[in-house]
Amino acid sequence: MSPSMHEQLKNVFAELFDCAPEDIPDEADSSTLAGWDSLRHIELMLALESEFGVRIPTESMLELASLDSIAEYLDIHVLGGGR
Amino acid sequence: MLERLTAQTIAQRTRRGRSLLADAPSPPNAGALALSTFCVDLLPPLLAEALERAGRPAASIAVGPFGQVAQQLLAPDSGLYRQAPDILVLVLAVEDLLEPLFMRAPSELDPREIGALVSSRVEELRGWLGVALGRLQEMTCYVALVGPATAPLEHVLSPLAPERARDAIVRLGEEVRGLAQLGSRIVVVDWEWHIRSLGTGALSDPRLWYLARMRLNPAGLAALAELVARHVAANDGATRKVAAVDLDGVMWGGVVGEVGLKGIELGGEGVGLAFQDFQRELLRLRDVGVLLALCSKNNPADVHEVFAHHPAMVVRRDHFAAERVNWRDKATNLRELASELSLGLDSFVFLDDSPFEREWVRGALPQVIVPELANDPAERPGALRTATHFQRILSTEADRGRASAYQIERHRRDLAASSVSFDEFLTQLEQRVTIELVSDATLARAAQLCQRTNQFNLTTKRYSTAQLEAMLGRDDTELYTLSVCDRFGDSGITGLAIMRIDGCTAEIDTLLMSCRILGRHIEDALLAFLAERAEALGSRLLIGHYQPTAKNGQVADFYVKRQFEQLDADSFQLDLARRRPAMPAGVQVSVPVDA
Repeated sequence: MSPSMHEQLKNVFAELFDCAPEDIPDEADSSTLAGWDSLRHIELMLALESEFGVRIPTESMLELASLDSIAEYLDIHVLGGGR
Repeated sequence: MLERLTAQTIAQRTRRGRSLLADAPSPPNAGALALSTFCVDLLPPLLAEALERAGRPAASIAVGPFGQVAQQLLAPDSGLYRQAPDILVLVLAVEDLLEPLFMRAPSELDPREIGALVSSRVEELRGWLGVALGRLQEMTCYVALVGPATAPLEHVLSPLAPERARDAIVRLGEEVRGLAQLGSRIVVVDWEWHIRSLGTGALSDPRLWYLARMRLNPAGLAALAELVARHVAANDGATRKVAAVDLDGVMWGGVVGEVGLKGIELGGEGVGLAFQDFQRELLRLRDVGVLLALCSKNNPADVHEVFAHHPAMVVRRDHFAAERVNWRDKATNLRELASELSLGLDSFVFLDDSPFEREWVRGALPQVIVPELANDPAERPGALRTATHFQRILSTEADRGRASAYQIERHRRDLAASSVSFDEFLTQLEQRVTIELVSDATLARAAQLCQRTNQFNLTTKRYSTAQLEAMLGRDDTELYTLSVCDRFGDSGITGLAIMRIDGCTAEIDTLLMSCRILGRHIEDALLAFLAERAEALGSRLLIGHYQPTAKNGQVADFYVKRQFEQLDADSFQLDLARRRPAMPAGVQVSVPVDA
């Protein structure tokens, strides 16, 4: 998993959650990060699609509930196995 | 004219709207509430931003719980009346207002029912709005009717095809637009009209009009060409006749052979619902005359168990005109299916989630159309609904009857092939008999059976609902209904028994059954139940009567055949201490717990 992916993701999160990228911890997930509810989650998924040019299948949308899992997913699906 | 927006623009507007709502002065200068038949929870920031740009900022914007339009408009303590907004945005989806039309197969709908549905939904709306606008004198309601995204059935193309229900949908649109006539505080947003510009805007170019009088640009012309070609193909009978479908990963999620009946994904929520909707789409296809064929690598027993026992299955086994469930290669199975159905392989479309199987069939049987299947099950119902291979201009009577005709033929074949003995056949039917005490809910049906049953009716007493109701109140009388379910379907309530207990004697006052469940030992199951019940209540003698009519000759010796002793011309008696009627084999019976 690439550190730069985490940085990129934090920027997307920061815009959506209206905070600074530094405020998003590496271990952020939907049970701990304030404001990450089911509706925000949908917005987050759409923002990721638009940002990374991917189409996330319905089932994966349900599973990507942490910064780590999102980074891992994008590493595989955008970067084709990581760099 | 609506502008086509990029994802970036929409995100910017959402952020702007969010900060507007966060910085709202209090008290708000104008509140808005959105109520909808579907989820519009992402609407508030966009609405806030749009209202601001329109010069009419609204500080508080709320969204009511979706699908609760009636409760919100009618209940005096609902969120609507607590908030008392100036602006009520009412968003209604055609698919929600006319739900039966979109959820059921066309064959299950009576066209008159649809007409009545439109009228009653609009009448309701009119009433609800009247109440809300009466209570909140400052409020204006903005009504938008959105959708439908597709016709209830896309497999027929003619705008006159009844399955497209175009009349009902158009009339709903007109009626909702007509709400604007109720007064100036109802504003109808003509959604259907305004969004046209998104389509026509992309398909036309004013420069081409002025330069060359072209009303369509190249994209528009390509769309026109595509549509014309599809209509020509459908009209020439190029429509495919068979959908051959795989099971695991197509009809349900997961591999049933590995995870078992309970492990497969199929149900009313999430991905399970997508699989269920895919099954609904298959039934829609069947409705326009497309034959369904099963082509799966599986153990037949696993598959049959899912069909027989999974509560969320929509497609039944007998919806398939033919099946091949085995471990042979799919090209061989498709060839066999074609010959069994007496159709060419060029009538087949093969639906399988495995890229390997798709490639194999494409290579081996180029005549078969093998569409790509989206990896995400959520994409598939819509794709199947709009698949062009099955489209026709209109569906005919023959189309609609085709699937049933093949189904009957298949049953006959199966029966001939497999029935070693009649009892074995009955066992294979997996008959389940349910006997229940008559309740308020089943009273009317019980009376109807009394009125209508002629042949298998021992005493032919024509009790009315009121008479049966009076009997329900008596301690010495018990009334039972019976229904039968088997592999081919559920009979509904098709039998009735009335038994009167008088100390050591139990008398069967009424015993009747509908013809369509006769000859399957169901009558013996009911008699065995009555005998058990009589004994449990302390009776030793079971008395039955036969009163001849012009039509009930077939049951003249019903009691005699079952070793009852004849007492007089129409009475028969069985001593339960000596002999109790046996529960027939091959019939599972469930009886009331409290009986």
